[in-house]
Amino acid sequence: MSEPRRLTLLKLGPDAGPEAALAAAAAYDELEAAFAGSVRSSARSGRGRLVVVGGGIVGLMSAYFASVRGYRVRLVERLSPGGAASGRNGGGVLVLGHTLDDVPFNRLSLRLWAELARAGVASELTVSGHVMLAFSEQEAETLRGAGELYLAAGLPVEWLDSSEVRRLLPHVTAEQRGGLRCPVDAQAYPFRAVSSLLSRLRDGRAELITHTRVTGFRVEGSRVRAVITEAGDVEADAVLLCAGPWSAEVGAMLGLPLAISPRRSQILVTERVATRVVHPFVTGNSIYLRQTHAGNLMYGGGGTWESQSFDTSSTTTAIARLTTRFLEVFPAFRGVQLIRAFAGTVDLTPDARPLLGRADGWENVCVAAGFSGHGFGWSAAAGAIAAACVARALGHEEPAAGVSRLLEPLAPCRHAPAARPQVRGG
Amino acid sequence: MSDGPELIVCRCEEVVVREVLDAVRAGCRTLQEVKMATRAGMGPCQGRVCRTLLERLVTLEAAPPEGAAGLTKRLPVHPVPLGQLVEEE
Repeated sequence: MSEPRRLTLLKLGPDAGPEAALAAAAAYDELEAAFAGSVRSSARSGRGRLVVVGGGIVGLMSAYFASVRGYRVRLVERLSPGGAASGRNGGGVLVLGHTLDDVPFNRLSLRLWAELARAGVASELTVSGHVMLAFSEQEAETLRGAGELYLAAGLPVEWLDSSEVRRLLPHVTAEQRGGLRCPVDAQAYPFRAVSSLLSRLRDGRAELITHTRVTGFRVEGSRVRAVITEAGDVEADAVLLCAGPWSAEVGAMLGLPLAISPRRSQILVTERVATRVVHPFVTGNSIYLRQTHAGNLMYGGGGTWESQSFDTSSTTTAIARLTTRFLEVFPAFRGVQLIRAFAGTVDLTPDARPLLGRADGWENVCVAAGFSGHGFGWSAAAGAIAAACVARALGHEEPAAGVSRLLEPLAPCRHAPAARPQVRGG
Repeated sequence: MSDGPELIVCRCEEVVVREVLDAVRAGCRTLQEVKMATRAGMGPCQGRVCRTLLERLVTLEAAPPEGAAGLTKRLPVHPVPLGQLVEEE
């Protein structure tokens, strides 16, 4: 355990303080007022045809929320829906660990995931809690400090000492020095979430155009009129780009400088372990891990050492590194068998915050991408917000001033100079 | 296949023929999509036993898009105890 920074998901910067924490609590209230209940919206936005580009979890969620608003949705996916990182991730629906700027959005997402489950979107969602483990006194001190801020930000976290952690995780190493627990964090099964959303969209009026590549856009002035695909043109009143790490490529067809770059993240899965041995989502020692609803243990973790590319092969280096760290946390599982290694591609942005909102220069193009490794957890909030951005772009809805202010820092083209509307391809 | 809808096709996850066909009827076009919907091929054998059967079923029933791969082959080649995979000091 020689890594200097092992608090896997803790993103709080040195500038995070009490004021920012209180602002995060207030921001959540704004988002809750605007979006709670949007899973079953009674107020329809209006008529219009929305084309969603990208069938990952964010595109599917956005399609779902836009359908609920009454839009006629068509979704174009190059390969299989949820076939990339949306189906290859840890399944965390977590708030603990996020920056204070992102806490309110992830609290909203947690709430919407639960509302979706009640509305029949099956995802094996379990409010299992999440515990961040400390492996040194310094880490324990960092986590206790972070805990105060998260509490002020509206998250009911609690500090557990080493023996309390052992009661929560009977097989955990005695080497740990306690942990910060967030009881409201949750986990879900990505495959079920994708499948369930697909069937809900198919049952509704949404049309899923899969295994079809987008090759360009037909535009008129500053509006996109159709998405051009291998299978023909798909007429659009609005377009939403949700292509994850491929968003830069799709955005470039509209001259949009979307600052998103790919990075591999690897995950390992063991055979099913008969009894429930790990209940909460666990992070620390530079990995994350959980036990799935089926009983498999799953652990992973990326980092700057990973390939900055679309390569999704598994490496023996990562298998050894991640397994070593996993057994340091749970030495009791040495005899459990690894059955699969896989990898996904995360969509990183320069500030690790998503690109979410209407794209500069285009009246009817919105973007929801760049979730920087947290897209699965973010997706419910991202979908609800993206659908609202579409409604706004179409002039059907004016969002609350507070919500607009929260979305300003997420403007999709913030990292690069605004481009003049132009079109490439097609 | 119609006479054996309850035949087990994936033994590890106990997925029967009917479940695979239902997934195809619900819109799945490739074996990867069927796996996502049914867990077929997700057990300890990782499709080493059932892959051929599953691929044949999906090819017959779903007419997958040209070039759409079957199940991806990943490490490890067979189950390995975690204790054998740790970094060497």
